Amino acid sequence: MSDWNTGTSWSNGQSHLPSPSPEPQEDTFPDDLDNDRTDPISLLVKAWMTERCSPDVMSFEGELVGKIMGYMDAQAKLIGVLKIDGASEEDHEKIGLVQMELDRVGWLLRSYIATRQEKIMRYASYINSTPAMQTRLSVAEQTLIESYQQIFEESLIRDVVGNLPAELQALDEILPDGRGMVSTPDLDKAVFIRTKQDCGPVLMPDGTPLEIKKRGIHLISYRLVEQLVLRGEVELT
Amino acid sequence: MSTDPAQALLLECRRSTQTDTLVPYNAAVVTTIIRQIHTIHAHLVHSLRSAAPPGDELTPSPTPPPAVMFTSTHHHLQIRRLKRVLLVYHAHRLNMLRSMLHRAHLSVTHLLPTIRPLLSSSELTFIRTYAQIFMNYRAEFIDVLDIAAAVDEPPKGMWVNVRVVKEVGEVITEAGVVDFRKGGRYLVRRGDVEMLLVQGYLEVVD
Repeated sequence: MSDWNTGTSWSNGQSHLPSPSPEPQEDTFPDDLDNDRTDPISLLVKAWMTERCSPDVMSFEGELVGKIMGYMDAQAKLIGVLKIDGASEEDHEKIGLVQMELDRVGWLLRSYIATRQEKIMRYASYINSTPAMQTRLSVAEQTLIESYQQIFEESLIRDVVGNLPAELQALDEILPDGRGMVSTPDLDKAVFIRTKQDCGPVLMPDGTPLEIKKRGIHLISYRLVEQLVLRGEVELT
Repeated sequence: MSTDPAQALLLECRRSTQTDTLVPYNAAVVTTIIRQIHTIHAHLVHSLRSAAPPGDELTPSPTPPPAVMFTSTHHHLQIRRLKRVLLVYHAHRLNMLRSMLHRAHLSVTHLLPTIRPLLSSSELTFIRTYAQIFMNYRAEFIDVLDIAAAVDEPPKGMWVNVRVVKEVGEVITEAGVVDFRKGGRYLVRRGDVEMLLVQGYLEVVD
């Protein structure tokens, strides 16, 4: 009966989402940094935050998404079975709570996917011409933006450039001043970072080194800390 | 009041962003600008040809006289600006269409009747194909998760207070049959009425 709140089930109170049972209040910021949570939901929250805060497209967490979808599917099926069995009043209450958690995790996952989708569409043409970026996308995402770029350009060609003189029809020109027609992620955008460990000095554009210490919070250009973010030494917040 | 058609298009984009509405496709101005580009381009080609020494295409041409340099640079910049404005205008519309479709739960049939008169024919093709493409992407997740559902607000609770805006009638929900009468207020499960909310039959009351 109480399968959903035992063992390693994903709704076992490890969740960052408000859980039905009162959680210990000592879960404060420094502890959070020291004991890295590794349950799938926390990892999803982390991936979602990084994706939302980063100006660049991050690698798709395929394994994690698959795992969570598996949990969700199992929970949904379980709920279905329990409902048919005609549960008691109290069980209905419990089912409701699990369903709410399911809704929330679903929302988180949808938001993660939607954030990525918005970004990859904005930079579709850049990604499609950069193999290094393509490896960060799932197969489905790659198919999506390939077809998207195609129909987007078709529409522009029919309405605009197809009607211009032949020399002016390019859609991927790079102007003499270095600006291109293809939009690329703005890596110089400022991001808030939270450091999880001592990272050593980072060289600022004017040549001065900036010491990045554990538990520091900085507002800094993404380009400077990109490698640290990819290695997981700092978190975007 | 500016008489520059390109400025007019930009203004349209800005207003449409500010009010979050799609304005009718401005075919007249777009055609005017395309014509302008053709005219300027013809001028540009002409002035460059007349400046080049006649007959010897093979020898590298010496720098043209400053007057020609000036005119051609000017023409070139003008063309570049006009082309950019056109692309901005069209890209803005396509992006807007895309977000409207997402707000309408990817249902083209639901969206089209209201916006059809506002679209150019290629925009119509775009939105239809886009819906198709996105459906394929959505199919990856559909067994477990409908990624077309709105993500504007995280779910705060299981129940939502709704007011019936348009008569719906009886709806079978997981908890039983609900008879949605116009003007009535109901406390229902969010998942049960998501579609009716999107289609505008119901409205959330806080």
